[in-house]
Amino acid sequence: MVDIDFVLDEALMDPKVTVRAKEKSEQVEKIIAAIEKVSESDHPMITCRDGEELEFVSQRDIVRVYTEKRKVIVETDSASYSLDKTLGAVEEMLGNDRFVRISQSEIVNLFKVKSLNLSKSGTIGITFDNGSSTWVARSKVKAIKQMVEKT
Amino acid sequence: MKDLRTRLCIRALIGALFGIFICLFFMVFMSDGNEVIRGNYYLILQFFGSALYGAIPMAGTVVFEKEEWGLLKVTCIHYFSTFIAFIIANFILDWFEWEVFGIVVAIMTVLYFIIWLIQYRRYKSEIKRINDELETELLLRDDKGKGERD
Repeated sequence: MVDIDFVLDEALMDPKVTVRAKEKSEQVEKIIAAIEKVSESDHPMITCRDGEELEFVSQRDIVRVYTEKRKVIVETDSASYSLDKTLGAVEEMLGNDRFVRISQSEIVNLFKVKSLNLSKSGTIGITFDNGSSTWVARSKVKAIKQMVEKT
Repeated sequence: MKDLRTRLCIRALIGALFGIFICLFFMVFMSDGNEVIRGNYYLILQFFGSALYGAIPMAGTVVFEKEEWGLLKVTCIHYFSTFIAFIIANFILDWFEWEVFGIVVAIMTVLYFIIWLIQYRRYKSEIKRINDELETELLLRDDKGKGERD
């Protein structure tokens, strides 16, 4: 028999599951596998290319995905990878609870955003926690605001 | 999404129709009766000139779709393209006396400035709200000892 406790914590962005048991039995492993399966189906790992090698990148680690010279680039805090997919295809894979399109050529992880800014010339910039920055399309500001207010 | 050329043509057509409508409105309701004296050539010139002057600013709105350009840049480009079209139209179609023309240009400039200012302040307000929300989320996590958002 399994006891399930649900604790409402508004500070958490993603559900956090702690499994407590006397030992790591077969039942416990099945429970963990089932939870991982649900988590994976909602936010699948992204298969990226680092030169000739393949890397599985967790969506949690992605800062932004953008197109550059006809290539799709996935940027994390520590590295950049290329992707053999169109930006539209990647957008469908990324969780819409944390990723938002900010222009024709860029999708960002809202959880990695530090701030937005408006220059005197009216250009909208976005700065990430890792210090990198890019620009935001004026037409996408409303979508960003709605998403931030939802989270 | 329609390509740039198609959007340009559709907007130019809408603008041209609007220009023709304004031209007809002035001819019917604000005429000094001299159009007939001036002859068919004058009427045709007014008709096509109004269509063109309606088409140019309307087609020019595609510049606002250049999202990587700042609001000031796109507003200035649209303003100057409309302004130049207006000078040419006024020269050919003789809409305003040149003394009055200056006042019309001043009004046009003020209107563009007001529209730019409203847009700028709207974006500023929205960005401030977004930043406040982002900061609140981060503080909430720090309060609960959870550190970074991810």
